[in-house]
Amino acid sequence: MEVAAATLGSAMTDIVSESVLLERARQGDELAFATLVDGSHAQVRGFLAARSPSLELAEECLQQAYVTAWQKLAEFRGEAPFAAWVKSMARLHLLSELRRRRRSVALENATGVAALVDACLADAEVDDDLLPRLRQCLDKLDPQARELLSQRYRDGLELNDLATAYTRSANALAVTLHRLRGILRRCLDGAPAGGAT
Amino acid sequence: MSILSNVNTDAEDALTREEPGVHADDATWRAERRLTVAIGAALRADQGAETARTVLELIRSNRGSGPRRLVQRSLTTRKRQRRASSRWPWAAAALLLVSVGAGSWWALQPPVLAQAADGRALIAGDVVTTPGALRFHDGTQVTVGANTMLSLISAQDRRGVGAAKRLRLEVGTLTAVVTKQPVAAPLTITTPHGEVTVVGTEFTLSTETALSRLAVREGRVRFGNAVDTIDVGAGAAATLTLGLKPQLIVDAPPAPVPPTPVLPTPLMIWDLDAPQASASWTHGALTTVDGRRCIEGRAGYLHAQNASLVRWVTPVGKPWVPVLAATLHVEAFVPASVNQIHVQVHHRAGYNWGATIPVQGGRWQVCRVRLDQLTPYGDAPKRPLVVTDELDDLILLSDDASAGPSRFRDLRLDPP
Repeated sequence: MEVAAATLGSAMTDIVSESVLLERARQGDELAFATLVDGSHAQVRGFLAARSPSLELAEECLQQAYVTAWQKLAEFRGEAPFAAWVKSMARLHLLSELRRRRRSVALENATGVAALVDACLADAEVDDDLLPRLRQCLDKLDPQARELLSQRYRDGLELNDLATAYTRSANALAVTLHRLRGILRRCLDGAPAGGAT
Repeated sequence: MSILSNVNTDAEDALTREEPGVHADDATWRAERRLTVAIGAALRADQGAETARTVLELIRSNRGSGPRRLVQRSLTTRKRQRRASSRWPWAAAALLLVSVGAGSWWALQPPVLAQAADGRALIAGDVVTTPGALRFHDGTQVTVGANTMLSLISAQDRRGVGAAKRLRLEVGTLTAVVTKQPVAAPLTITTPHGEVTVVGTEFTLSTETALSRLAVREGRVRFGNAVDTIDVGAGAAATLTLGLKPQLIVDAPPAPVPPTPVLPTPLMIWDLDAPQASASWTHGALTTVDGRRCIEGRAGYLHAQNASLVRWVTPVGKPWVPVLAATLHVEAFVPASVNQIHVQVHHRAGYNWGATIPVQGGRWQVCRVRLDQLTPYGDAPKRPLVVTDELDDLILLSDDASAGPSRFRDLRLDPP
């Protein structure tokens, strides 16, 4: 394992073709598979995020998709890009989870969530290019604003915890987050993203 | 077409959207929600190394048993781990450490707070999602049922360093056998509906959509939320719904539940040094009826602003008695032209709760208002007010400062 890892360690600094990595992964090389995950996760994550009602669900399906991919690597002939193949499995995991949750939220009578899950299941008019564009818009924000968005939406920190950390009221932070979302929306629609706090 | 179109930008709308648990069945809310998901995903797009590592962990833990998530590192934990490996070459180094030396690997890890039934070391932020058990270093054991999501938020490590045990039960069922905990650092389990506080006992806690349910086998468990808290004794059970008082289950098996404590009336009374003084300020203290001084500070007549102000100062080194759902009792004398007075309670964080009480001018009269029914103003959290040491001032004022001074006396807090 040490030898394989060291060999891959040097290879990773170069461009390693997907087919070589796939072949190594099929032979049980976990680090080769890790490289494949690293090279494809952004596409799969973007695909899932555009269709999931929550980041947690997207992350869960992402993990499940890669675990399934590892288990079915022998069946993958490399005719399509690895990312596209994983996306197809991610989609199945997501649909399965959404259907399960739809039953669950229907029982809960949480109509807002149920409608959201329905919209995700409908799967129409989804912008697969959203994440790269959103990243460009995020890069234009002030570091402070970006950090706040990261803490809230990437790390999932509660609004009240953030309010304590920033010594502001939760509602004031909610307004700030709303304004930042507005800036991002305008940026996505083509208007320039300005700095904000 | 973007999934984010048709979004209105009304700020008030956003407040509602940010409030947890508040949903609106409309396109705006869905678009806002999906934008937040997309933002979170975009901000995680540079976490390939971490994703790869998580996937490898899952593959290793599930080898031969099909895809099944055992333990998921939470987003917060990932953030900590990301500091050590935010770029792929560094991730490769980290992965090499996994292979080459377990000692080096664990040296990078946060403190181990508990152990899962399968031997996995659990750290703050781990989420247990499948049936199993986790055991803390002091022997406290928590058994997790099927379809459960339990987060480990904090606990002391093997050396006794760290915060008190804190868990969050998002959904599902757990059974806990809790070793005696320090009184000052009880085990706490939060659910979407409230909180369980334990010093040492055996109990089962389950959380469903609408409520959390607690059954105590041994000892005593404190169960409640911002509205009210009750002690649930051995053999008793109780339920808790968001925003409502906890309810003891009537048909629970007979148990040595102590009678509900009879609250003294009043809970506290404003003990003025010179109650009849006409000076602008009078010093005094709110004391419980058994003589404990709980809130002290100053009360008096602010003629210029026509307000009477009480500072809620927790005495240093003295026990604070939190007041849940108390009724404010005060006698007021306002000028004849005034027909209402205002009560405002100010929080240190800068927001207020308040209420308007109708009065008849020109005579002394009793005014009463439940503090937990005051209205949150402006930025104040949309939840009932609980009197804690985070409150600064209680302000009483009439609505017409030009009409002349108002007077207030016999201020006290009664049971609701």
